[in-house]
Amino acid sequence: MKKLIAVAAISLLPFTSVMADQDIGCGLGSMVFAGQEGKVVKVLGATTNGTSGNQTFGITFGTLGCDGTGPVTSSEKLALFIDGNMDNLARDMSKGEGETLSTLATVWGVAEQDQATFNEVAQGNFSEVFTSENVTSQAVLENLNSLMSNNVALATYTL
Amino acid sequence: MNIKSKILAILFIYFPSSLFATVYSLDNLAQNRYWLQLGHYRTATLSDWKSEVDSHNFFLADNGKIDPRAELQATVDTFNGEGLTKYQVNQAMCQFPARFTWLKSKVENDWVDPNCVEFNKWKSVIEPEGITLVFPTAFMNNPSSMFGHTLLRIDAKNQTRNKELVAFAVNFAAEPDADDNAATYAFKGLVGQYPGNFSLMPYYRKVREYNDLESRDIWEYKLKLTPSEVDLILLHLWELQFATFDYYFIDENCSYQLLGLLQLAREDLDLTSSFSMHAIPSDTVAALRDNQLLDEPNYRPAFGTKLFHFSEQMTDQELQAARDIKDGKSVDLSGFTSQKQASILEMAYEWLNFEFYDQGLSRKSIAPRLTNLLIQRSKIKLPSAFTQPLQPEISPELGHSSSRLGLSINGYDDNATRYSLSYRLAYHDLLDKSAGFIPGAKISFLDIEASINNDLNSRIERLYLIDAMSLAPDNRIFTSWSWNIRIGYDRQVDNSKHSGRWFTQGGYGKSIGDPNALHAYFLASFELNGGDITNNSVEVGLGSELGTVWQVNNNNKIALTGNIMWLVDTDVDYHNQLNLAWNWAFDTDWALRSKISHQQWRDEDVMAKLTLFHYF
Repeated sequence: MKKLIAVAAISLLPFTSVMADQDIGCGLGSMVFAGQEGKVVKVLGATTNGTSGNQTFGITFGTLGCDGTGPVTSSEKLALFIDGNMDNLARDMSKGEGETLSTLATVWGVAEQDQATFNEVAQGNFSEVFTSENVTSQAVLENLNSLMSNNVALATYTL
Repeated sequence: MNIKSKILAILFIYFPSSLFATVYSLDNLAQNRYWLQLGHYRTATLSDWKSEVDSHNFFLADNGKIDPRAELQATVDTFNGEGLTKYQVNQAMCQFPARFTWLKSKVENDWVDPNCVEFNKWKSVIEPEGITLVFPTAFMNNPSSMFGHTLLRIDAKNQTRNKELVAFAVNFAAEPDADDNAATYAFKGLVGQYPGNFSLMPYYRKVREYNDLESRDIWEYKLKLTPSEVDLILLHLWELQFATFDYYFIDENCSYQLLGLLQLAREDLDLTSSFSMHAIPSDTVAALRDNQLLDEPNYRPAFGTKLFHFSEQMTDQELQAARDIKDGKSVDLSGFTSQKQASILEMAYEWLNFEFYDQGLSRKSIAPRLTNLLIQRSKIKLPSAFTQPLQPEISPELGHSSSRLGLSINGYDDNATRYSLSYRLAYHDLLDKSAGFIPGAKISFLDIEASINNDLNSRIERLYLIDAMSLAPDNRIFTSWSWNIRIGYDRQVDNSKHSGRWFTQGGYGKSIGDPNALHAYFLASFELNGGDITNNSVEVGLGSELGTVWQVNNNNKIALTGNIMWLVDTDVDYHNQLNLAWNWAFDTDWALRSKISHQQWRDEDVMAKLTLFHYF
């Protein structure tokens, strides 16, 4: 029951309410292979330490939840991680290994002894998670979550 | 006992001790290094002190920006609650937790520890235990990025390698005006027109930015700080939440500001005052090393480094298959084993992805192909056969220091002798010891040499404002162009004298070989000359820069370099120069360089030169 509430919370509350505020990463709208949109002005950035990307970060950025008040929850952290690592996550999943995939498993709370299964399930069902190049990070999270719920060893980790 | 101490003793006896202690210590404390560091005070020209922080809300006294004593008084008064409600006192203590913690142990007080809800929430998410200095190195073919960037990572309790990416990064950066063009940007940056501030973000964002999008290797130096020292740093980071700084690219840059934050870990730590005018990232790392704060570094290879390393593990045939797939041709992989197929698909994916970002290809056509490659790869149930790049043996802080001083003796073919002194502000040339630097890249800023002869006749030999060169050779996967640019003043051989020349020169071309062993370059070159040698008219030169550099071993390099430039519209047809040089780096920061050169403009001259270099 507790998990059901969590699922309801994660699918409704933070993401839908902040979709407009994608700049700070709380909206789960990122797609894989953002291309040049995600790229920065190299030369200037490099010579001057000027930052690339936007500067909406503050000292509390990422420590607060998506509503901007309470501390970030573990599921929000997970959603943000997927959103910020779509390319590398897709690559790691296709190989069934890699730092990004391992980090995802850890952030998800998957115990060490189940991580091999997690990797295997992710690789074996790659095209069900990354259904197309236009899949959003929110859909990736949901797809992964439903894969886990259908696996005996991983069902316990379902959000 | 002399009279002075007698008076002091009497004062001690007769004055109420607490009053005496407080008054005495506030004057004293205002000059205390830690207090000055907490307020980011620096000695100034118009006032004794000036804080680098510009935000008014960082100060409790009206003149807090220029008066550390007044700011200290205001802080103590506030914490004492003079004229304030309990709530306001609590607020102030929570706004300045580092000041509170330090002053509580320094002045007599009856302060109650505040209840800081926001701060505690913040800290509970970060769970700080350690700090790592993160140093993204230069990216390929762009020597200017040697001036790069540094940031911090706050490592959490129980952090495994797998949780490193979700730790928090502390970044200090400028907030440029998006509407400014490149020239305005550079100018405003140099004179400190952009506000800089600290920010926090998940570390994976920075790894993605530097490793993947900009393809820069990252070095991570764990700092030797105890958890309670880390806590002190976080207390002050919180104080800087809304603080803005004038941001100067050259000196008060990210490296300097990060050191200003880190030195609050210990009362006796001083990382900024000895810092020279320019804070180059590798100097930051060296400053921390000199204070015994560095642990063994960890290395994260850049996208390009990985791609090249993977390609080195493939045969020509396998690599060709990957190239064809990357280029969109249909390739039959059935002749390869499953393991090889996996490698080819991985390589094709990485390569296409690299070009996609590097060249800014259209997402519409590339993204479906990238996705398709991953789907194909996911069907092969084998782990990747590729090994990851090894950590280079020499990390950047083990390279030579960035400024250079040289003492030379020059012999000319008419038996004249000159002695010269040279200074280079920064950073690295092709003959300097390459350990810790990107191979085949040179960048000199403000390189000046003055000489004197036995008759005490002195002159400027050379003044290079900038002298940069990037010699990235082609390899099986990367096609690179080499280039150079040089702007400044030097001396050319005139009729029986050496005349000054102002010039701007640029070259573009190719290099071959291995910059870590033997490599050669050929650049088509264009220049504008002026000054005494051209009788103060502007003369255009066209020709080439060429050379070969042989890295004999870690400490010895030999180079044969030269140029020939045909002059348009002048009394001489061309000028040229040929140099043979040998650099022996007998220690990390010491080298002996011998050079024989032949120079020709209106006349020709041969010179032999022996220089002792010290890097600092």
